[in-house]
Amino acid sequence: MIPLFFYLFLSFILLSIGIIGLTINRNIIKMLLSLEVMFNSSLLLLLSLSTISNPLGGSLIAIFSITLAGAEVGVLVSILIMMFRVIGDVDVFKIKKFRG
Amino acid sequence: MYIEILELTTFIFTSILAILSAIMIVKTKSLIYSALFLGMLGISMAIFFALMGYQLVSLFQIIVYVGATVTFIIFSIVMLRETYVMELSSKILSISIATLILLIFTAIVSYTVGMYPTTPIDVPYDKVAELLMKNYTLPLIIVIFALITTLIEGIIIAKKEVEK
Repeated sequence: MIPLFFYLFLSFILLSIGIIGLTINRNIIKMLLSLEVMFNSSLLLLLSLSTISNPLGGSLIAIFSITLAGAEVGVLVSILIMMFRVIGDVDVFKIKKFRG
Repeated sequence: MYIEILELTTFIFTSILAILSAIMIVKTKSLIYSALFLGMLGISMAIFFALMGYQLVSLFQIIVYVGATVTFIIFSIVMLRETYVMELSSKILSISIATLILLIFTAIVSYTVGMYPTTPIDVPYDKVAELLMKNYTLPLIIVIFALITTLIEGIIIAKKEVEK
């Protein structure tokens, strides 16, 4: 039996790595990938905590969130491609040119 | 006894793989390799879900997340030309904030949960399917529409690329 603390600690480590990646990068695709690391950590946290409370509900929420994450990534990546066509770069500091 | 040792060994190796993949996602300069490491992280998460007893969620993670989402990211990065990955100079500040968050959360969890054991649970597939079809019909329809929207977006982007 693996202690619940191990899963939670692992998810916090992944969350911290995701936060570091999100804050130190200027490239918007790297920021998106760091957000995905944070999403995975939160999914692990949700499912590990739902083992002690409501496994059925937790698995349903996980299924919905995985599917919605796919849709969200699709929307974000299409915005990025449009941004790349307009600006020619994926730097977040040049995003001002994308307005209007 | 042997099963418990096997479970613990799998957990340790998979957690090392997950942490290394997450570090490489943040650290690698090439975006393609970052996306590939994201796929590895997704697979290691699926192994964790299977270890906890969520086989259906694990299958979903591999098919939908690794199979569709990560592949979509990789193909989109291929469509863009390789861009230089720039990093901000305030690395120490962000690392210290992340470490602080890690320490606070770990202290709270170790105080509240402690070494509470997790036993592998059994989620019946027919019950999940019944709940999805009867109780969660509207969220299911919304999710289907969201996926169809993504599909249409992908087609439109590809079409514009061809026209260009």
